[in-house]
Amino acid sequence: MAALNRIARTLRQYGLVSALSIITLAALILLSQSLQQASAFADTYAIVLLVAVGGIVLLLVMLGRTLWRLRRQIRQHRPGSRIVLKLSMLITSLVGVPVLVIYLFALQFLTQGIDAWFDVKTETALANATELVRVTLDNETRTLLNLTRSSTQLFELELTETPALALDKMRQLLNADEVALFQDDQQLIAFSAAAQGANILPHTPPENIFQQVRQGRDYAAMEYTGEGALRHAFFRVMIPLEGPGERRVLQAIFPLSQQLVNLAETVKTATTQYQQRAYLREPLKTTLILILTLVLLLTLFSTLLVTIQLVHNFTRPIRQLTRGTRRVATGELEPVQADTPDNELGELVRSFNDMVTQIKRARHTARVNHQQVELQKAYLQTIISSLTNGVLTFDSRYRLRLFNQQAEAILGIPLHAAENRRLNDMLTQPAFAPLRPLWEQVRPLLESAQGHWQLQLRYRSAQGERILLIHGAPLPGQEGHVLVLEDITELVQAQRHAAWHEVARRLAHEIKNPLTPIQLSAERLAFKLGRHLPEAERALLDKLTRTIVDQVKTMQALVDAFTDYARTPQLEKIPTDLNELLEQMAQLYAHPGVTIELETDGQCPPVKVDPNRMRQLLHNLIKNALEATEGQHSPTLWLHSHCEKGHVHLHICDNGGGLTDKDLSWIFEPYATDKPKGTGLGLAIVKKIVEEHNGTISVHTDQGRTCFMITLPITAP
Amino acid sequence: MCANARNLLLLLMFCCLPLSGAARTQHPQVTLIFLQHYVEQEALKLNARMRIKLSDAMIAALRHGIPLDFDVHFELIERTRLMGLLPHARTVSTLDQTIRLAWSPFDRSWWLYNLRTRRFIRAGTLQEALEILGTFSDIPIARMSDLHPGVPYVLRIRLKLAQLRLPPPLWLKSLFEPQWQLDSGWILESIDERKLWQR
Repeated sequence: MAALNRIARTLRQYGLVSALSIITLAALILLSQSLQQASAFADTYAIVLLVAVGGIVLLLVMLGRTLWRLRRQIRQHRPGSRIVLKLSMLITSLVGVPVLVIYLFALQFLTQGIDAWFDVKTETALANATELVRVTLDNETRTLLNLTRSSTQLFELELTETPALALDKMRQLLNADEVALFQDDQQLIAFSAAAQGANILPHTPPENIFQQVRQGRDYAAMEYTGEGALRHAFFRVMIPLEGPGERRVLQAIFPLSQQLVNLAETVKTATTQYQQRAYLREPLKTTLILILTLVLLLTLFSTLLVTIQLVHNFTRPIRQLTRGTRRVATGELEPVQADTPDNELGELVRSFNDMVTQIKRARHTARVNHQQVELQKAYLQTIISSLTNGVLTFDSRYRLRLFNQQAEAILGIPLHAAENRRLNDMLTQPAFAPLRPLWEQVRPLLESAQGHWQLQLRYRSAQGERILLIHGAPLPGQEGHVLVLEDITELVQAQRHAAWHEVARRLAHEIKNPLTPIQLSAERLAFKLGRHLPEAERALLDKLTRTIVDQVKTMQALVDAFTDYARTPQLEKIPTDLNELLEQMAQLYAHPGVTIELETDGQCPPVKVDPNRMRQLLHNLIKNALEATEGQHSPTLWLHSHCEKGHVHLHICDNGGGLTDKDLSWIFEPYATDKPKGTGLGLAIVKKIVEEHNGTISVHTDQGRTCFMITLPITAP
Repeated sequence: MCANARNLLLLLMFCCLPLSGAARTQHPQVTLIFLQHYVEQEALKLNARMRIKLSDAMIAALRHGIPLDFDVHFELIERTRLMGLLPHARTVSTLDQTIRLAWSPFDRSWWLYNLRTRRFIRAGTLQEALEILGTFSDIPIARMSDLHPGVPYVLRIRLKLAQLRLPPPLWLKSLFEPQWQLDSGWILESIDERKLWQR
C-alpha cells in the first residue's frame, strides 16, 4: 500500500512534467527528422511544430505557476520555501549554466559548420562544370542539327521519291538511332531505325515541338525517355522540309554517350544540390537554431520544474519539522506525520517525534500530578470550608494565601479583598480596622514561634465582641503560617451559665431555708420584746425588726428568682395562640403614660409551646422594656409577630435609649443588669425559656430603639 | 556572430510578428482572368486562365534549383435546400492536380511537370511557364449524367503553392512569411443552366 502511495505521489508530482517533456522531446526529434525525411512529415509538420512549441509554452506556464506559488509561500513565510528557492536556483544554475554554454557553442559550431559547406571555389567549380556540360551538349546538339540539315539537302530528291530508302541511307550516314519522316499532320510517312525488330516504332514527337517545327523553326535538344532504370537520354532533331505541294518534317534521334550522360547527370545533381543547399543555408540555420533553442528551453524548464519538486520533496521533512516545532511551541504536542526518508533528515524527524512523545508523556504525567494536587487542594479546601473554625494561611511575607468562609464569618471582614496581599497593607483600610488589635497580638507570635501556639483574646467587630481562641503553627518548610480561629464565645457563655446555674441552685438550697426562721424570729422578737420596752426603744426595735423582715423578703425574692432560673421545669407544650398571648400581655401592661403598639400576623397558626413559660418570657421582656423607657419623653413599646417559613417571629421593641456594644455582648448574662432594682436574671431567664423551646433570641439596637427578636419553630399541633 | 544574433532575434519574433522586411518585398499574386464552362461530349468542361505572379523569394528558390509545386483544385458543388429550408451544399465532383515548376540550368529552360498526368512541358522563359501553369483548357469537370436539370451548380477553382512540398528548411519561412503565401482562394463561378441543358 505504501509502495502504491509512493508511486501515485511520484506520478502526481512528476507525471505531468515528464509526460509533457517526453511529448515535446518526441516532437522535437520528429522536427529534426523532418529535415532528413521531408516526405514522411510533410502532412504533419505543422502539427509537430505546434506540439513542440505548445509543449514548451505549457512547461513555461507550469514553471511560472510554480514560481508564483513559491513566491507566495515565501511572502507568507511558509517554512522551507526559502530553502526550496535557494536550492532550486543553485541546482538550476549548476545544470543551466553548462547547458547554456553548450548551447552557445553548439550554435557557433552549427552556423560555422553550415557556412563551411559552401565556399567560392566549390561554387565556381560546379558552375564551370555545369557550363562545360552545357557547352558540350550545345555543341553536340548544334553539330547534329547541322549534320541533319546537310543530309536532308543531300537526299532531298530521294526523300521525295523513295523516302524509306533515303531515310535508311541518311540514318547510316548520320549514325543515328532512328530517322523518321512525318507529314504536316503528324502522319508517319517512313522511318528507319537502327534497332532490329518489326515492332519498333519511331519516337512520336510531342505536339508542342511539332507545332514549333510546323511554324518553320528547327528543333534540336537533348531529351529523356523512359522511367527509372529504363530512363535514358537522346538527341532529338526535327527539321521542316519544304516540298512540292506539301510540308513534311524530318526527325532524327541520335544516341547519347552513356558516359557523357552519367557525367552530365552527376554534374547536374551536384550543382542542383549545391545550389539548393546554398539557398537553404539560412533557413536551415534558422530551423536548426529553432530546434536547438526549443531543446534548450525544454531542458531548462523541465529541469527547473523537476528540481523545484525534488527540492520540495527533499525539504519536506524540514518543513514538517518546522511546523512541528511551531506546534510544540504553541503547546500542541503532536508528532510529525511524515513519510520519513531513509536518511539523516528522516532520522531527525524520527528523533523529533520521539522527543515530542516523551514531552507529551511527561506533560501528561505532570498534568495528572497537577490534577491530583488540585484534587488534594479541593479536598483540603472542602475540609477547611466545612470546618466550624476559621482557617487562615500566610506565606513567609505574611500575604494571605488561604482562608475559609468561617474565618470571614468569625472576623466579620471580607477577607477576599486581602487575598494574596500583605495583611499589614490591608489594615489601613476601614473594613480591616477591627483586625488591627488582633494582628498586633498575633504578629509577634508568628515571627517568634517555632512550633504550635495558641492565644485567647477578645475580638470586637461590627457583630459585637467575641472570644476567640487562636491556634497558630508554622507551615512545613518555613514557608508561612497557619492560623485556626475558634469562636469560643458561646462556650464561655455556656460555662458561665452552668456556673450561674450552680450558684442559683446552691443559693436556693443553702440560703432560702434559713430565711423563714430568720423572718419568724425577727417578728417574734419584735412581738415578745416590744411590749416590755419603753416607747422610744420599742419604736427602734420595730424599725430594726422591720428592716430584718424587709431584707429577708428581699433575699427571698432574690432566692426565688435564682430558684426559678436554676430549676428545669417539665414543659407542658400545648398549641398556643401567641397573638392572643401578646394581646393579653399588652392589655395587662397597658396604663397611661405608656404606648403599646400591637401588630400581629393573623396567618400565624397555634404554636406548640408551654403557655406559662411563654407568658413569663413576655412578662420579663415587657417589664424590661418598661423599665428601660422610664424617664423617656413618650415611652412606647412595639409588640409584633409574623410567621414565615415554619417559624414564628416575635419582636418586642422599645424606645428606651438603646444599648451599648458592650451591653449587647453580655445582655443575656445573669447579673448583667445595670439597674438599681431587679435580680439581673430577667433576660437570662428569657434566653433560657427560648432555648427550652428550641428557638433563638437576638437583640438589635439602633438610634435609641432596642428590639428583642425571638424565633420559635412552629411545631405541628 | 552577427548572423547568429539575427537568427536568434528572428526566432524570438517569428511567432508574434511577420517579418518587417517582408512588407517591402514583392508578394506573390494569383489573379483570375477568365473562367468558362461548356458542355462537350456529354461532359461539363472548363477553360480557365490565371495570371500568376511569383515573389522574389520564390524566383530565387527556383533559380537555385528548388522546384515549386502548385496544387490546383477544381470542384463542382450542388447547392440545394434540405426540406426546402436549410441551405445544403454537396460536392458533385473534384479534380486535383499538382504541377511542378522547375528551372533547368543546363538547357536554361523552365519545365512544367504534371504529377498526375506525368506530362512535361518545356518553356523558354518564366513568364511563358507561368502562362502555361495558369492556363487550363478542356478540363472535364463532371459527366452530364451526374447532373440534374433545375438544380443550381457552382464551379470553384483554387490554385495555391504547396508549401509543405518545399524543402523542410523552407517550411518555417513558408508558414510565416507572406512572400511564400501564394493562394488564390476559392474562386466561384455559377453554372449557367442554359449552357448545360440547351442542346
